[in-house]
Amino acid sequence: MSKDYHPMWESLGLDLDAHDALLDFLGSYYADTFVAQPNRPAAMGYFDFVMSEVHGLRIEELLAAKAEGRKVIATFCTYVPEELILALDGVMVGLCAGASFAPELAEAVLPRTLCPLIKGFFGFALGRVCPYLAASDLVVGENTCDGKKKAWEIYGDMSERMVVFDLPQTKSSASRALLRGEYAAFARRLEEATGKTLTVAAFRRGAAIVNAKREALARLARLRAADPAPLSGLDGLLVNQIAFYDDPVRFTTQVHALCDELEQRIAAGVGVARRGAPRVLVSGCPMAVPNWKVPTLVERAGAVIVGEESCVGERGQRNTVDASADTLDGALDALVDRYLGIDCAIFTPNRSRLDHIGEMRAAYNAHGVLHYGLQFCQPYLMEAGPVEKALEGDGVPTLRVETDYGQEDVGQLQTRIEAFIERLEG
Amino acid sequence: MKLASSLRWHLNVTVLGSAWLKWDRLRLARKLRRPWRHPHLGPPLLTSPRLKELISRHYLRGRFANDRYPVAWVTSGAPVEVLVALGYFVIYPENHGAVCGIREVGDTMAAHAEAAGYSPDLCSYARADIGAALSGETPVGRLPRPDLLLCCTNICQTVLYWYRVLAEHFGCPLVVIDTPFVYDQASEHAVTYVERQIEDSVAVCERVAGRALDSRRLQRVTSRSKEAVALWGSVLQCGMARPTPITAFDAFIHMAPIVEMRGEELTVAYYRALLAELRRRVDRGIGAVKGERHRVLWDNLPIWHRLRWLGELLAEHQVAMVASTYTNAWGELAELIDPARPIASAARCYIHPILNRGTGHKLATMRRMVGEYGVDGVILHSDRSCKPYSIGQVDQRSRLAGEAGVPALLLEADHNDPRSFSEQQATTRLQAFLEMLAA
Repeated sequence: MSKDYHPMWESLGLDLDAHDALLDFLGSYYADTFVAQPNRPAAMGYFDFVMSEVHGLRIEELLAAKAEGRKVIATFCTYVPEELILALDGVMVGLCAGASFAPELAEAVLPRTLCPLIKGFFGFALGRVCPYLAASDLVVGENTCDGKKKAWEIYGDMSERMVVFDLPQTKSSASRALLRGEYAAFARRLEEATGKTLTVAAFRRGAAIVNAKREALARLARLRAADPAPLSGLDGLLVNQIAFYDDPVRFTTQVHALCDELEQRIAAGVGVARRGAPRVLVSGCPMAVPNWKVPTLVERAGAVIVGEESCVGERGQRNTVDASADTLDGALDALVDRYLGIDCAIFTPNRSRLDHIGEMRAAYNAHGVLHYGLQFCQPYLMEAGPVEKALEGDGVPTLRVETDYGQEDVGQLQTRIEAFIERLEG
Repeated sequence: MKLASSLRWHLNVTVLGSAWLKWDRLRLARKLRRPWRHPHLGPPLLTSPRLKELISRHYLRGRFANDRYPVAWVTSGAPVEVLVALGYFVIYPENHGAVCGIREVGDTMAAHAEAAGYSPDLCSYARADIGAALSGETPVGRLPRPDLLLCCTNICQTVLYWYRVLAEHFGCPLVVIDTPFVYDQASEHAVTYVERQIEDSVAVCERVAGRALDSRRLQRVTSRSKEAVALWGSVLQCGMARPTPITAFDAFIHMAPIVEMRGEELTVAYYRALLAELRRRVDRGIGAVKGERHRVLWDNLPIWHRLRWLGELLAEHQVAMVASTYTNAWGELAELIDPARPIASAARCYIHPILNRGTGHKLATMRRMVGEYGVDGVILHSDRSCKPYSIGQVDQRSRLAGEAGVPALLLEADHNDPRSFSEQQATTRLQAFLEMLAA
């Protein structure tokens, strides 16, 4: 950290001792996981800096934005349309949910047998160590799964900032109408919170910023197809994770700077792994900061991850919004078109997700697919079997991993992942 | 071929099956007339043999249904009236899962699914059913192959993935009725969304059945559903009497027709008979638990594989489990059903079951039931397999105990998988809870 932020954290009501302990752990974990990687692109320095200041300078920026009258909107999920938030001059940030913190506090209000992501959020919230939550004006929950539907209500009893919208679980004209109604209600709620009125011009401005961010991430994804891989999977994941926290315009510029450097590396045949190294596509549940366990094991075993079919990855960021709408109705339709295209496992049927995995595998020249499932995440665990069956049927080696945020299964996972990579090499 | 299948049906179902089931009912009824000697439980309900005949007949018809009817597998909270009006034979995999649990083969069935790669952390109903589909094994002889699957998300989201697996396995059409979650009031666009889906489903159901939907028949079926739901609600309300003539354990068994035979005349007739018997018992002061001293409310699905054990343990302590939020869910929405507007009212009704509503609604329901049924304590089953029912229970227990002053116990188990249940641990916790009630 560039300076002492304790006064700021104290003003946000954080538990300073617990927060210090969290940052101590994260600092060393980050250094061991990321900084220690060999032959990283120099442009990753920016993202290292963002991570080093993720609870410092970025929070200071959010508080400065609030002082200017802007609202900070905290979210969990890729179905929250950032375009609307930016159009109403808000700032969107992701929430802390990628680690098991204060599980005893989370389990005081939730069942033990619940997905680690939801319990992670409650642990960070009840343990008072998430400055993003503390700095937010609204917390937006989306009804993707059974666990979240009721967890939002429980958190809503603790905080009046909670806003929830529903998501359809099928894709049809009726589903479009439902999502459109939910987005319209969400826009009204944002208007109330910000005191501003949604206009077509504002929508276009917001959509242009988010589209530019997504186009930059798409460019980065395409470059990872090169062999040798110019960027590690860990760094690719990190960039996608930071997309939820950083200022979108600055982030876009820095992603392009990284891409420029990667193009030079590709031209020079420089990579982070040897040419011909086993290449893995990761598919499944989202990995929020600091959930780096499985990618670390994969890359330390000698493979390189070339893409993430994940909400923190291509599934969540691909496709842009048509920003040409000339009415607000048209703007809502454009948002529904884009967001209903995300093939989260909550949808039935969900053939497009399987097709997308196949497209990514081919586009990024992956030799195999690792399907990542968080324990108790029914949507992805149920899809894991059919995904594996379909891929193996097409001759694509696939490894199914089901884990949580704990470190107890690292040895077992390492053995399975090493065996999988041997299979890819064989 | 049609002649052969018709003969098979009549021989096995209409002639031999019916005769055997009737004989078995009469045999059981004779047995019930003998003096009742159980030290803790009151005499069993005389309608029980009739229930057994009804359910056995349902599964017997199911064994041969593919010869005679279009067959649909549906989720327990699905708007089934359109299917019944179209002449479908309807199977409820959750009920079949419960049968597997009661017959203590839930874990065996689940193991087939786990061997096929499904996670042991998935719902044990889903694993039992997928295991039965993959292995062809079932304690009911044979389940008919579905021609259509109807999945409604108003009970949980797991059913979506579960039915997707079934659709792939059986290669038949899957109709999904997606019900947005209701926190306070359902928004109009959410109700419209459900209504449109039910309307859209009719064409698929008609195509598979090979016949058109008769709107008057749909109204008649809806009317029977409404009557059965109202009767079931009245049956459960008999539990408000002291001593209660029916426990939640009885209700868990007697709820089978309201879950899997809604819209049928036999269901209405059965609940009329059951209600009449319960009212007679109330008049005569016949209790389901001898010397009833304490009354408790149950929250969540039952522990199917330990029903008898838990029932006898409580009865031994003169505790009657007089109601449950689970059985109540099938009896509380009759007023939303309007036979004159069968599809529009189905949309409003089927979006409102307790599992599709917020934790605050469940807490309010429990508080109301605590008062109405005069209970002394609440047992909240934290069901490893049922997240929608279990999330919020920690807070509900605290509020019931703190604000309402009602002792409440959180009991960890799994409704269908005995591998996730420790009888010794549960006994210790229950005994401490019962001592608190007695204090």
